[in-house]
Amino acid sequence: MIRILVVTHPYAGNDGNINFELIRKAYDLSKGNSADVKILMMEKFSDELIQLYKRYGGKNFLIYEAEQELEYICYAELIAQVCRKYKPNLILYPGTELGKAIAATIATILHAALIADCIDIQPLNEDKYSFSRTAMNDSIIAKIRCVKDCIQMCTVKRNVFEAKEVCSIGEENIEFVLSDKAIQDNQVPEILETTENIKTVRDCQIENARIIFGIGRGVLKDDIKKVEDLARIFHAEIACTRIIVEEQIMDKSRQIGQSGKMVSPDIYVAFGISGASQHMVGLKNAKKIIAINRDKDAMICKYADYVFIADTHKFIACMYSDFVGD
Amino acid sequence: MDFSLTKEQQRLKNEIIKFSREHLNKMECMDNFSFDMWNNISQLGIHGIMIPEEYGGMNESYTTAAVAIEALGYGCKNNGFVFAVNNHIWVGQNIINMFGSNVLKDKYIPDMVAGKRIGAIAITEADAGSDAFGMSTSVVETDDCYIMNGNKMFISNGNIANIFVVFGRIVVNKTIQIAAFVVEKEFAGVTCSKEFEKMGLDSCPMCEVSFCDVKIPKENLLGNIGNGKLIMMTALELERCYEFACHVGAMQRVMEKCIKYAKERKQFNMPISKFQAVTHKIADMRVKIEMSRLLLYKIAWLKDNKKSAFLETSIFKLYVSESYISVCKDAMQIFGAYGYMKEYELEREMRDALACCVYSGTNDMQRNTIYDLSSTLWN
Amino acid sequence: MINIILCVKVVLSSIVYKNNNIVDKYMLNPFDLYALEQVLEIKRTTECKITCLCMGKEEIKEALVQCKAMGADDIILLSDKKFAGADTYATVYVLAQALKNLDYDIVVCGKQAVDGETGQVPYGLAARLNCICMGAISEIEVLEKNRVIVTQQKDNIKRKLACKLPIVMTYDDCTLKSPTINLMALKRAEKYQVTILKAQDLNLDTDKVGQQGSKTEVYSSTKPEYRKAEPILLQDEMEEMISKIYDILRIRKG
Repeated sequence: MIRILVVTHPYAGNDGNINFELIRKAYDLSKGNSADVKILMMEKFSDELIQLYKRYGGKNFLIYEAEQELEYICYAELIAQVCRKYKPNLILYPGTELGKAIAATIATILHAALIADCIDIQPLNEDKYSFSRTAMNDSIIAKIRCVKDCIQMCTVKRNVFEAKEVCSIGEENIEFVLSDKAIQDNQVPEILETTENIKTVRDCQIENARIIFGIGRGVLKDDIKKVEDLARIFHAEIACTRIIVEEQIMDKSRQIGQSGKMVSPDIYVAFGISGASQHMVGLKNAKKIIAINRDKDAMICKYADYVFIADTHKFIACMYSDFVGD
Repeated sequence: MDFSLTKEQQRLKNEIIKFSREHLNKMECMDNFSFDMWNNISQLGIHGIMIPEEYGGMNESYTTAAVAIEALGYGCKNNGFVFAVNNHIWVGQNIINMFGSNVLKDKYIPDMVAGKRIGAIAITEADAGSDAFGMSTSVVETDDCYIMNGNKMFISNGNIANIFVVFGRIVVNKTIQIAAFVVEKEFAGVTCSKEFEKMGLDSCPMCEVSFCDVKIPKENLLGNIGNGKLIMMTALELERCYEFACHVGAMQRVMEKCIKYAKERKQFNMPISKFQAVTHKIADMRVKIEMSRLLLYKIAWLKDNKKSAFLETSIFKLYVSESYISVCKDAMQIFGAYGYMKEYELEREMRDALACCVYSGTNDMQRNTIYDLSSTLWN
Repeated sequence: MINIILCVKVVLSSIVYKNNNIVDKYMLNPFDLYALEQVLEIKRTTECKITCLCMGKEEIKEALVQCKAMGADDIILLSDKKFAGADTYATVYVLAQALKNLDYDIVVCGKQAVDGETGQVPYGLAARLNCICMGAISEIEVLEKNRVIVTQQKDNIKRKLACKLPIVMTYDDCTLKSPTINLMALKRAEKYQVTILKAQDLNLDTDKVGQQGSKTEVYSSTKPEYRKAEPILLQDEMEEMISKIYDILRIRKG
């Protein structure tokens, strides 16, 4: 029997979607072959949260009651113990900073296979899975598999899978786990000071946005402000491609793509974006894509539902004068 | 005859190209001399390329210096700035290094290599251009110093320079000799006029420099009295070699720009690179670049083997200046109306290139020199 | 004397500068270059020895000369045919084995590699070296033989942390600006001999290196998910396009 372990991000709060998405994916993967799925929660017990996770297919829960979010290294030892006891074949980790740190550490401790930032998981054969991610610099999606007899692990970013609710799942199973090895004191850093920069909190919410305007290389620097003004009118969030971040025109928190964020808006308007797969993979769950580009052979035309062939600068100017005024 | 670059030369070339593209091509610095860019290039350390290590230099050969300077001209679009750098290195700093006493070298070379002080040369006068030896700046020797009086015209780097290599006539035993002196801008009596407004080379300030009873320390004489002509010829040889080495790089840069444009620009449903009227011009550019380059490396070889390259540098100057102007003109033709727009930077390239036929000795004078040095081949 | 070991990766320039006229075939990973610049800045005020450790083909040696010219003290290149085809697991194994033979107080890594981008190596190294990995560090404030005080910036939370050494740490940023390398320093660096270590020099379990030691492999590739239906295409009819976009957005407007 296949055993799947889902590691949830503790105290996720408003960002809890990633947990729902992973739980639902594990549920989907288990349906065909009655695999045993366990959801690992590393936070104080909350019946409310359990019930919420059940809605997405969670049934068996392992709970490690940590008072607050700890350093990644404190979770690693715990998860290693859980693995030794329950011997999962597949582990899903959230693609958050914490999730990735834990996953990379455990992969080394347990000599496991780890595929980071994958955009799809499909069963391959017997107990093996196929993991997809974009290949660097090519317009292809690479499919990766584990070639040794070891645990398969992957990290998945938010918005890769859909958090859909399931029909009733029945009674939940809860098991409390304790870590029987304290983390050595000298390994955990001492926190001297914490400051929260209020200004940047919730500054960028593209992961939750329903409408997103994407800025690519085809947008002139002077036009960016116009696109931002237009976005405000249409209640859209602004996002961009990797090159815009590299040229320090926008912050990384607005980057969509393999090395940025995954988004799932209802509408994505791509201004001057060529459509490289590294960027487009971040939009695989976008419902409608409108591309404004002057090149009708641009890659983005293959992904878009609407293609407007026009000079991006002229289009923005027209749109601006129509909706914002001069 | 090995025309290949050594690994070190290749690395030097790459490093200079990367540096130039990163730091020297800022659009906001195209119109004026930028001290920020000067400090940056001083940190790169190119000034000392042929200066001995004891002064902080790299002690490289003429050939390696040619590789480096061609790379600078290729990577840096700011022709005026490159012109200023070359003036400082070849006819300011390096002349002092070649002809100055140890005392003089110790005084000036380390700061010039580090870019802390900027050099310039002052030969030309309002009434003495091609007829350089007809200069009227006069120098009189006293017991403890030299006293200089005169006005030098069209001095590149004039406004930003701290150290001038100045040529003047001095009467010795009833004969007029030309001598060269190192004159600091701080010496009493040295004044610079306002910067001239020129057609191009905007980042290299040019002015008139006046010397009014300027007292020059005896030790600031370069070489001996009467060495002026030799020093001037050496300076011109170096200038013609290296200023124009930059232009070889610049021509390469302009040609590559044309190739890229020709492939992208479509007319009559095809890229204009399908039209021979366009490609033939680019082919001609390539011919000029390769021929220029061959002569550059022959000149470098001659100098590395301690031979005179006065004839070759004159040919080089003539050929490269005319080629550079022709390359720019053809580039404008290829770009069509866009080539006339400031945004495409070709008009600036053209304005910068046109200076080539008049500085470092006019092209007419080069033809005189070339004939004179060739006429002895047949008696 | 504090020993800092910087793990660097050399990548193809064409991956970083996609359309430009590139000059060098290989370059330092921009994230590692940033880390190197930070560490060199520390060297100005604190007595330390900086060693760059790199795993790669021998031909990338040229790109490492730059590290020496910028001011690194030693360069070690782990190069062996056996290391080829390594995934993160095998890479971490080889780097860790090399590190175990060296004196280090801090192991510094760039955040991730532009041609791979997993960002897993620093954590894997920390696990193998039995210490913690501090990620997203923006600044080292205090560096002493036994401890370090760093500022960590994760999202909107800034923390000042004191850690006992040794640790592994990563900076958070990258730089695409070519550093200004003094040509004389470059000339001197060219004379320096990079230490090249092969598999046999490292006391390795050959089952764990290179392709043989990798846990994963790319076995296939597919085209990305294009839209199945042809897109609705409008060309040059500006008014119609603006009107269409308004219709689509209005339905979904706030």
